[in-house]
Amino acid sequence: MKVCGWALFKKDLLVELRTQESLWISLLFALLLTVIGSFCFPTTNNLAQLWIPGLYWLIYIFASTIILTNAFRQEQSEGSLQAFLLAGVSAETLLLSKALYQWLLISMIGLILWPLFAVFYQVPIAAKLPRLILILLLTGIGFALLGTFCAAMLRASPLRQIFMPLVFFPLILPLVIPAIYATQSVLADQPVRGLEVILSFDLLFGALAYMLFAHLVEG
Amino acid sequence: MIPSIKGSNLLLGLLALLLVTAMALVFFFAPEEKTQGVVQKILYLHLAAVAAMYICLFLGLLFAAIFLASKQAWSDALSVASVEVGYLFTTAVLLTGSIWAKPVWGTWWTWDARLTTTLLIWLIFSAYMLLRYHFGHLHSGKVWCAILAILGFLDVPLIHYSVRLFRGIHPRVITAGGIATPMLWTLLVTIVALLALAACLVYLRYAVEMLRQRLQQFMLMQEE
Repeated sequence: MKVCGWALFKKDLLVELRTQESLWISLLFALLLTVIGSFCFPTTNNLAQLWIPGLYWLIYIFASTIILTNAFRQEQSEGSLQAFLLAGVSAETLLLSKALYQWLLISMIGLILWPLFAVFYQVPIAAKLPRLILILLLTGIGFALLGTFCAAMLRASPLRQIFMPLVFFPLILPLVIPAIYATQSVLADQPVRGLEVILSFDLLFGALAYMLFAHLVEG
Repeated sequence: MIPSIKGSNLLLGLLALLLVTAMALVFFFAPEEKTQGVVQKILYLHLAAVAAMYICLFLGLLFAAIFLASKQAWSDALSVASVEVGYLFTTAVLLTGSIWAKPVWGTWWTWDARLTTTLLIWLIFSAYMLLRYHFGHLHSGKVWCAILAILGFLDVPLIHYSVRLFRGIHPRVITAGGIATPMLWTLLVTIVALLALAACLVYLRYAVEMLRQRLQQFMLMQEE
């Protein structure tokens, strides 16, 4: 399982490096939303630290959903998901390798967003970056697992671009709310709050996705 | 097997009687609350709808899990019936809550923990209804809906906990010694009446779903 999962992860990474389909589109989209945000909210007063965490996570949700929605696009168009299962790859290995790959991509988006916020919104992040990255990586686990799960569910639907946010957003909200609080507390130089909810979500939905994924791909 | 609805007229009659009794108790037996006045009476329906909502959505999860394990058509039909009725009661909870909140809190809506949790439950199961509407005729669509029924219900405690990071303003309706006996009886009868209504609706929807699935099979056979 370990070797197989690693090979699948490397395959996804190689395809992305060669085609550069998801990451660049998503990054450009995140940049665009950051620029639009600068026109929507005042950036010059002290209130900025109240709305900046919310805006950061809003852009993160939108940008990562673009990546997550297409998690199984290639497998679906080539029919390779069935081929993997026929070759004896377990559904759980597929989920974990795919989620790890998605986690890597969406974490990169989140990482690049912070310097963008530092430049466009004058957020002083230098000293706070390790804690912000910790929140980002922990939140990313739940995002990647549940997002990969929803993408697998909707992979065959021609309407998946529409259905993905409708299904994914309400389910992911209990993860986004503590992430916003945790980010707010870090930016306000307070002890980090909400990490226990983020970890609970990661564990609960990680376990559920792991248990139910076989039903999803094997029907 | 298609569930029978023969002889259900008597049960429906009893249900109607129970509902009328509950409403009579609400309007003529239960005393008016001192500070809130007549608007407090909507809380009997509100709380009963909350009970029906949680029980129906839990049954939706239970039958969805049975469906995933056994792939039996009846469990899928019971799951969809429970979730749909649960969704109906979630809508009722949101509406009755808003009607009560306007005169008492002075606003139709506030981002209180329980309100937000209920709205998110409603949104999750709205997605369920959409998936069911578009893909309910496919086996894979039924599996997706079963999984969403499980994920949606298990999401509820996490939603509530994370939203409680806000400060809640929701009243604790029943505290130790905090409710008069006639009010308590009225509340209990209303809860029983709405649960009976929910059970009746779930059964009828289950019967319709089984008939629909039989019809679908029949049409497929005709095509072959």
